[in-house]
Amino acid sequence: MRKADEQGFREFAVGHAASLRRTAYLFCGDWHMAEDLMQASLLKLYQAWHRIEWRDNASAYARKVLLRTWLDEKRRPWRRVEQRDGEVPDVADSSADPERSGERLWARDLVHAALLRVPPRQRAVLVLRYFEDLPVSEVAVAMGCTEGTVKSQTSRGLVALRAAVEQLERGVVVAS
Amino acid sequence: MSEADLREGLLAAIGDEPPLNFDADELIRRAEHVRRRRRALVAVAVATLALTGTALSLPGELDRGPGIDAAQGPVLTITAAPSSPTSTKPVQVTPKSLYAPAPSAQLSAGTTKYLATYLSERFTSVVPGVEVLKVDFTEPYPQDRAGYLTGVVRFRDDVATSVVVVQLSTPPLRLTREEYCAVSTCGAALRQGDGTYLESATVTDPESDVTSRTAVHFRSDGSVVQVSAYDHDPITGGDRRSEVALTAEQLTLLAVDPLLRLW
Repeated sequence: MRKADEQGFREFAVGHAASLRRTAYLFCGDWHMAEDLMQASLLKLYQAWHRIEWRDNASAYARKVLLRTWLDEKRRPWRRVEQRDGEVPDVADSSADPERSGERLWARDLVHAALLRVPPRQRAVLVLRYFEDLPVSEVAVAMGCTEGTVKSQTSRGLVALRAAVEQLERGVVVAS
Repeated sequence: MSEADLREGLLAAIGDEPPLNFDADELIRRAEHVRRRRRALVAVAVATLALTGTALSLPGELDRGPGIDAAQGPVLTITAAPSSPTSTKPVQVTPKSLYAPAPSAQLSAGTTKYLATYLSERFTSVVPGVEVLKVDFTEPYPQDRAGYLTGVVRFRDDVATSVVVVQLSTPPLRLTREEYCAVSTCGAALRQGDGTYLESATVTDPESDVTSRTAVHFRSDGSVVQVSAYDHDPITGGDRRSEVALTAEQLTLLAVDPLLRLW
């Protein structure tokens, strides 16, 4: 790669690494895996940098690569059986405090936990539309589908998310 | 849950984001390593295919002698035992030659030199503004019987160095349309005024991410001229450029040049 192209890629990577990792985290629900997905996506982007630099929007292309990388990763058989329940929290678990648990659960954990129960492609549409604030047309480009499909996936995703939230809330009420 | 709640929830979900230790230089080093490894794999695969093709085609070429020409020798007859001492002498069979003479299309000694000189001049007229660094034509193996010749033009333009590969082939070693279309996406062949036809294709290898553009002229005398250009310098493996070095029109002009042929 020429020096100018390499410099352009470096600037893009430094500027977009954090946002790509956040999006990846909302896709997969794990910061370590999000970091891996971000790195893998940027590696693929580097290989295609001379093609996308002038013709396409690099940010949109990066989102597309990230989404494909995550979906490919999910299809791998060993991912289906992997359990991530051995993570030790680095800080005190404030949700264990009964007085604050309801508030924190609603503010953060509930939405994210419910999101992880939504099917992958619907989850991706919700993240791209409501976290990245992308219009339907750009989500369709990232997903590689039609705008109509994005709208229907959004609708189904919201229904699934609300059902998951209600289910989790019922669980909290029963537990308390 | 409203859409606003969902937005707030998603923003809150990344509230415990760990610090990011991202090293762009390390990432680029890894990417270059991956790219070099892929190119090396492609090069090995191409070399293996070429060697396999040569190994498979050579026995057929070497065994292509016509054998004994029975019509040129005397007729063999089996005679009974001599009944008298005045029997005729046995006939001696001496074939004139076991192999036919070499084809008349044998390359003369100066052919490759002529082609290199001509191609060097022709290239700069078709692709203005380039500096031709070297033109090489391979010396054909005797068994190829002048049926196949490859020339490489190494040049430098305002972007970087690159090469153009010219392949001349005649029967029985000529490239067929089926062989060409097996590795390229062929469209409808472009018929020329003289009854010949042209094929042109741009192919990107998904593994190595290398793009090449090719023009092939299938001539009325049965010979084929294939001209290829790349989006990098295949000799060094580097010097990537955003476009293939030559346009389809420039490649076509070289492919249909009547003086680029096996003499």
